[in-house]
Parts: sequence; structure tokens; C-alpha cells
Amino acid sequence: MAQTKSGKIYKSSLAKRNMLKFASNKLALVGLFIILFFTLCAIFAPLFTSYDPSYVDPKVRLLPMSSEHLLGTDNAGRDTFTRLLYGGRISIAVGLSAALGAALIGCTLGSIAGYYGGRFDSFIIYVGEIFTTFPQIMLVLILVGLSGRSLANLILIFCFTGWMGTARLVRSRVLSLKTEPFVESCVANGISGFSIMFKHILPNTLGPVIVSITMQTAGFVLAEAALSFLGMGVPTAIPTWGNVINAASSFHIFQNYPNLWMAPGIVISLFVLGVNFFGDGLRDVFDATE
Amino acid sequence: MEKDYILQVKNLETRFKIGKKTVHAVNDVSFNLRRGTTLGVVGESGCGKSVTALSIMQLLPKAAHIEGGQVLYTPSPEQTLNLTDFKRNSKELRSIRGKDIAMIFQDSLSSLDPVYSIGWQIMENLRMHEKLSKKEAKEKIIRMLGELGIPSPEDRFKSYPFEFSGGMKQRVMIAIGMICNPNILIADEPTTALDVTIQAQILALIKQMQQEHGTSVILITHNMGIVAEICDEVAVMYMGRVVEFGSLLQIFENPHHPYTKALLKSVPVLGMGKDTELESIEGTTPDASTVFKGCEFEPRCPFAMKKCTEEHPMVCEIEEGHEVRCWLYEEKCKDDRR
Repeated sequence: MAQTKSGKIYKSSLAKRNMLKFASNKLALVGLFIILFFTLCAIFAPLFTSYDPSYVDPKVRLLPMSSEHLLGTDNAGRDTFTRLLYGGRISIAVGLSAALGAALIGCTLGSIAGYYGGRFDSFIIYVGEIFTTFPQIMLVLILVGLSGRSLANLILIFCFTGWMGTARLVRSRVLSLKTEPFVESCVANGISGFSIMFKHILPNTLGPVIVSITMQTAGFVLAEAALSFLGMGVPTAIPTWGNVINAASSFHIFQNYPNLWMAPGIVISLFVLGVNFFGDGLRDVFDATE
Repeated sequence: MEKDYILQVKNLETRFKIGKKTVHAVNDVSFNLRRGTTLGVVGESGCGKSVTALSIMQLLPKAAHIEGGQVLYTPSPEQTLNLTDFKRNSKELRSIRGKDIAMIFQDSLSSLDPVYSIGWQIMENLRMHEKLSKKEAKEKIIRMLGELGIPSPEDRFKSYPFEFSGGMKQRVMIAIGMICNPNILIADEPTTALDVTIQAQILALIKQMQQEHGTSVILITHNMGIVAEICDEVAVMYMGRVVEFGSLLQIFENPHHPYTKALLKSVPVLGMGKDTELESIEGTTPDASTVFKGCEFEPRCPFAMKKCTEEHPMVCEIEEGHEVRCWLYEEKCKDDRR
């Protein structure tokens, strides 16, 4: 309790300390910068380009890079640079919302399983086990096939197939947290089980959950790109990073117009790398043992 | 006379089921808590003190259950509730916990939720049991923190548990317990995790709170010194039974049960002779799952008789309000109560 001369208590803020810790990690800062850069570019896309990402112009098919079309045009005469900028909106949104949705499901199921235990616990663990048995991409492909291609479907399917990791993480944290004395004293103060679970125990697990959300965002961005490239993801009319690569799916274009697949490839890789650096930085911040 | 008791525990039996074994943690425990007084429950580790306290509010772990007995809570002369009638986490019981009967735990260092400010946590308890606006609640909490000797309570209201020392955290725990002005405060070894100087402060605070708010206190401890300092009545427990119950004077000046006598002799007293040796009790506490036919203390008792191995001793009231569970006083017994 450091007391300043004026007699006011100096407040050591946890947030401030964590921010300093994060800022001292150069890679994490680079990651944050990359994320911010791509996100801002996507949000303010109209400022950087005057083209319409979906406008098909057969007269300017497969143009090389030039000052007019910075990254050239694709098979349908759409400006690749514009499509990349606008594509970022959907790709990042899909990745983030799917990761948040999966975390929401995972947190809810994980904390209920951990807190109440018993049959519900084993049920959730078994279901999670069954889900993890399938390779995620297979499961997603099957579900896309069953439900049809649409943006909403894709996000829902990602949520539905990606909650197991978070659920396990939260469950194991809850199992150890519920034996903490503060939970006991909550019970002794007459706080209901529901409140204890969601108001007291769950917030204590959020550190690692936030880290897993960032990591999953990266994973889902990649998954979206892969699916869209295969023509199984977001409908081709909507520009996403995956759909931009999809424009280079024929071998002829792949061989002769590397700008069409290299540019989106680099963008995706950089973004995912940035998110992973950022996630690693967060992990260090939340890891109390460091 | 009966009306004067705020809490009566009658023949309480609590059992733990561990695999196929049953541990008789609390056996036939009875005691009464007078309104506005402090009852000390003493005994060595594992003798069932804490389990008794947890049984009162049914805060027991899943493996434990109350087999029999009653816990009668009398908030007002017209109303008596039997707390063992309620289900473990029922609404009725939850509304009593924290509001009517509050509890302070031993481990103050981790009894606060690390992610919320202490003001938030006291507020949660206060506003759950009493209808107050946020502003009124905050004022009340700041006043309480001030009463408990926490410096600049307005600033500390927003502090997080990691910014507090152990003694300060225990003060916050007392604040959480006392904020709803409970009728009974159960303090389960409230000073065990603290050093001696802080111990004295915390005990003084509990005493002060009791005098200001008229709370009845059950203090669980293994420290005879603490008992002598703040208790009005004492229950001595051994192996899940109350072996002797009486006022502070009766227990300290005129102990009857061989266990109480031995316990008092094993405590160092200031001013005792340099060469006086502290006595220890022969033998060790038997395993908690052992079932005795006779008296639990018999294997270690210097006065053991044949009868002690054969039959459970009955409770004798040798003086007004002084009860002993021992065969030695069979004849002195005024009237057989059981």
C-alpha cells in the first residue's frame, strides 16, 4: 500500500501492468500491428480503391499488375486488389464471429459440466470426444454439403465444430476453481449455484479463453480460405480471401498469373501469423507464473 | 429460559461416506447459543469442530450428510426454524445464509474472488439480502470498512483482493459477513492464517462488532488462549462429541472431563515456573472411522475404568449449565437427562 505524499493511495492497476507486459513483447506488438493494419484496410476499403469488388468487366480479364489495377484483374475482370480489401471484411468477420460463437458454446457447456459434474459432465465430454474424432475439415465439409453454402451457415458450422477445445479448457479450470475457498464462502453467503458458476468462476477462466479465441480466429480464417478455395465455403459472389484465391483455381491461371494467388496467399499468411503472435503475447500476459 | 437461545443444536449426527467406510464425524452433538454471547468450540484437528459448524448451515461437502438431530434457529421469540428440515441448497436456506447466519473462514487469503473489487463483493452480498440502492449500499459498505479499521475506505472500495494483505483481507471477510447485520456469526478458525499481532486485532474487531450489533458468535478454534480471551461459553469436542460444556469460568477454573483437564495442562501459561514441564496427552487420536463401544477418550484416559470400554458415558449436569460426558461423575450427576 504505497502512500503518496498527498495521502492518497497509489493505485497499482492490473490492466496497466498487463499492458506494459504486453508492450515489452516485440512479436506481440508486431502481431497487433498486422491485425490492426488489415482490419483498418478492410473497414476503410472504399478509401483505397474506387472499383466495385463484384463488378464483372469482361473487357479487362486477366490484366497484369499495373498502376490502374495494382494486383491485376482476375478471370472475370474484377480488380484483385479491391477484392482483397473487401474480402478482408468477410474473412475477418467470419473468423472472429465463429471463434466468439465457439467460445460462447464452449464456456457455457464447459462451466456447467465442470460445476455440476456427474452425468451431464460425462455426456458433454463424450460428445466433445466424438466431435474431435472427426477431422474438423471433414465434418465442416459434410455439414456444408447438408446445409448448403451461405455465410451464416458457415459461421454456424464453425461454431458447432469448434467448441470442444474451449469447453475442455473451461471445464478443467472450473474443476480446480470450484474447490477454492472463495467459492465456499460464496455458498456460505447464500449466493445461488448459477451465480457462482457464471459470475464468480467463469470470469476467473477468461484469460486462457481469450487466448484460445484469438488462436481460433486464425484457424477459422484459414479454414474459410481453404473451404472457399475448394468452392465449399462462402458463395463465390461474396468476396472473401478464400474466394479471391479461388479465382486462381484453374491450372492455366495458376501457372501463368501468379499475382492472382500469391497476393491473397501472402495476405492470409501474414494475417494468421499476426493473430498467432498476438495470441502468444496475450498468453504470456495472462500466465501468472511468468 | 429456552427463549434466550438463538441457536440450539440437538443431538446432531453428521456422517461422511468415503467408499464403503462411514466416518462418524459428528456424534450426538448438542449445545445452545445464547443471544448476544460468544460460544467457543475447541478441540484438536479433526475432532469435528468445523463439520459441526458446516452442518448448521448445511455447507457440507457432497460426501457428507446429516443423519439426525435438529438445528433450531430462533430469530424472534415467535419463530423457530429447524434448519435441518431444509434441503441443502434450497431457497429458504440460501436466504438465511449470509443474511441471518454469516460465516468467516479460516483461509482469508483466498476467500475473496480475485477478479472483483472488494467493494463489489461486499455489495453483492448486501444487495442480495437487502433492498438498497447502489448509493445507499456503497455508503453503508464504506462506513463498515471504516469501522473495521481499513484506512481510506472510499479509495479501498475499488481495490482488488491482491492489493490487500492477509489481515486486511480477513477484515474484508468480516465486512462481507457483518454487512447484513446477521444474528449469528460463525467464525471457523478466523485467525489461523494470520500472525499473532494481527490475530489480536481481528479478535478485537469480532468482539467489537459483536458488541455494536448484538451478534451471537460461534468461534471455532484450537487455541485455548483465544477462547479465554473472548468466549462466554465453551464446548470442548473430542472425536466428534462434545465432552464438556460450560461457561468460561466453569471450564477453565473447574474442568471435569479428563480430556479438558489434559488440554488445559498442555497449554503454556505466562508466569508458570521455569522448570514446570508442559504435559502432553498420552497416545494419539484414533482414526476417525473407528467406532467405539464405549468412551472415545478411554484409550488415552488416565482414569479409565472397566465401564468406559463397555458403554457410552452419559451427559451429567454437575452444576447449573456445566455438562460433562464422563463416567467418573455418574454419582455426582444431579439428574439423568438421558
